[in-house]
Amino acid sequence: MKFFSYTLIACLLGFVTNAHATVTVEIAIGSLPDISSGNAGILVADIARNGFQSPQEGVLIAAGNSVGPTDDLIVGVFAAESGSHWDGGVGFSGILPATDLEDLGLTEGTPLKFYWLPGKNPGQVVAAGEVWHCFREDSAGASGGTIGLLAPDNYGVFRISQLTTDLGGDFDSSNPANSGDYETDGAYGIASNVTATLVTADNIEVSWGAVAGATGYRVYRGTSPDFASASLLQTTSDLSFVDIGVGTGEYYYWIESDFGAGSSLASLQNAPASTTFSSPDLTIGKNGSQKIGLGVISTNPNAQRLKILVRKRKTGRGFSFLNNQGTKSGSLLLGGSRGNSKFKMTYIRMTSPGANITGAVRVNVYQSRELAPGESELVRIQVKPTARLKDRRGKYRVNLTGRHASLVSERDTVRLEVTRKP
Amino acid sequence: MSCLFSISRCVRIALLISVLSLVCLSGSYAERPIVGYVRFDCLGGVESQDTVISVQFHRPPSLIGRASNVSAIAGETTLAIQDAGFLADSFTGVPHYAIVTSGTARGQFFNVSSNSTTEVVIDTGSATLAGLAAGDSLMVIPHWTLNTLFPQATQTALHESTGALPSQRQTELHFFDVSSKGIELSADSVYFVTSTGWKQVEKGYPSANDVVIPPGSAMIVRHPAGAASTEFHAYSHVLQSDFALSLEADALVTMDRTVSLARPVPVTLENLDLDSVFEESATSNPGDRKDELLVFSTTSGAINTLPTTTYFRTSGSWVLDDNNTYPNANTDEISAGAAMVIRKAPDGSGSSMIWLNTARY
Repeated sequence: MKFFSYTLIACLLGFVTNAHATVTVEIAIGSLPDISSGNAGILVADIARNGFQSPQEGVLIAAGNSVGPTDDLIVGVFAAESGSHWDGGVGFSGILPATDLEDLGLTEGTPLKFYWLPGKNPGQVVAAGEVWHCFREDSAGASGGTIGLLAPDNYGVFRISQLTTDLGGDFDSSNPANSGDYETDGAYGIASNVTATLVTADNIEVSWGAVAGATGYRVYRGTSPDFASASLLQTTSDLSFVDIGVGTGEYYYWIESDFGAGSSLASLQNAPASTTFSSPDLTIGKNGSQKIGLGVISTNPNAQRLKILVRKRKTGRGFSFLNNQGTKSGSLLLGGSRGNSKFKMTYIRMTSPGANITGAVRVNVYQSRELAPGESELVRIQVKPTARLKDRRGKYRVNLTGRHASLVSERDTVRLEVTRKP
Repeated sequence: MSCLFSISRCVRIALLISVLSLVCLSGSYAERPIVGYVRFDCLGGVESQDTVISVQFHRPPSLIGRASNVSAIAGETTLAIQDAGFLADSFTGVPHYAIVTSGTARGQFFNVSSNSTTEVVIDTGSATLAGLAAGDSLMVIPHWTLNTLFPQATQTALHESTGALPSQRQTELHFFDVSSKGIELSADSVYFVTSTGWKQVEKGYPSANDVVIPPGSAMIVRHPAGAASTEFHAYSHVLQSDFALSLEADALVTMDRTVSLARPVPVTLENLDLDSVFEESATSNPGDRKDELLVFSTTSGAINTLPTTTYFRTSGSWVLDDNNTYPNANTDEISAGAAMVIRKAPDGSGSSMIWLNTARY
């Protein structure tokens, strides 16, 4: 039995044939520094036009994949070659035939970037720390291109070309930044072993493994496997974080590693870990009753607390609630929460009659063992009220059911029958 | 005898028909060949320019004969040839195709995969040739290739590139995509010619001298910005028989097939003989539209342009889609060599059909 489960969601983008127009794009980029024949070059589209995320650990160099769990899509993969046309250098020549850009989510003007990955060939997987270079230039320039690194209209034959000056272009391969936007770095690692664990009724602990080079982590939570649904919860240098006060639902967590200031590509996301915090399957009380005397299961679907009120009997005038005897209005004397297979009860013991609960109580926690479907457990909570709260007979009244109220004495035991649904 | 047709402002097409007494290639079945000539003006200018061209002629046949026996197995059909007189493998060193010129299967053509001294084996792929029978006549014809249609040493249609790189590139020849699903399919293979022969835009720019240009193909000549106009002279044998092309409809997706009719003369829509494989639209309403015929402009010149004229059939007639009055277009002419797109509406099941055009000259 588990309170949680986590799911790794692979980001898969597929090419889908549809009745749209197609484009053919020729690539001629070279000669390039730090590349060998056979190494991979990838044409990447910033589908959401929200900036590029650099290649990261685990990326499979194949068309249709993302360079990470982001919108940045690999639309073409090329292998470097060293033909005589490169005049002793190495470059990328090839064609991206009959591609339906619209089907891939590209529209005219979608930014493109060309990465080359020394030592990494098409079809291989990027490892953490492996070097990549990238270049983008909106202008077709003097290299013979018909378009720059922007997606064209979705029909026709186009060419993206960046050639060095000795090859008739205007690309400074010795200093690519002279010719466009150039960056280089190592592939960022992603946080591994990300787990989300329901530790208490509505508290979820997220933990992850350290990432080499990361200076910190950002924890995101969403309600779907789509990162777009996530919002930032916390920035931390720790390797865990407790998300407090979540309600019933399914939550997904992402860990974004921060690789330091000064780099716009400093962060990346791992695949999400999810926790399902669903309705409990435990019943409390005789015959599965959801009501225990005046205590009720909270109607708040996000709380799932069992409130059990212990009240003092007033002489001749019925009962008065303990919260009139020093606890804050609405506070719990006994409270419980129900998970999917375990019962947990937090109970408050007054230590200073008449005092404010925040300073005069002790809180103890009882957690049952994991119950099998249909199994019941008798939970005993020992109540230790102070003398001031006793009635004339030294009894405290704890209603377990409306009809079968019982009085408990100091150190008496409150019995709760907890049953897991079959 | 010769004829000259003035077709348009920018594309002048001359058809020279000459009846020649050529040597019979195989017994007594040779026809008196008709040879023709078509000229395309490939536009140049300040901006890069596209001209859609095609070839309406076939190379001199290597064999004109008649099948004495036909035997088919999966994907292949073996044709025993009457009065055979050819060498083994003579049709495979240079890629050849066999076109059936009589009988039920007339007009259909298939690549030759091998030949002995008496038999020719054709690759029928998934097609069925049930209609091919002993006694049917056929021609075995060498395919046009890039270097035979545009010989590097003599061709003048394309400006020669000084090298493979885009900075050295001049005119390109684009082949339309005829295998993908969908509509508005761009050219998917690109070639250019250098002083060392034809090259393909592909990793490493491999040689492309022997790339085959199938019958019925259309191509784009793309001149770079600043290039002068050129002329493409297509000339050789006129196909005197019927001509068939395979068309496909997809179950779910509208399909485009870019073709050119192998006729060196203008052909009216009603003489395309497309009606038997063309799904008619119930009305002129665009929402009722089924199959369409789209015709490329021969005067546009701009690059990456789509066909400019659209026709469809309704109530047994061809109609021009002018988005207004939808006039009858039965007698509208498709210029000689004009490229067309046959747009097949999805048919729910996916089916292949043979479009058979009858020679009318």
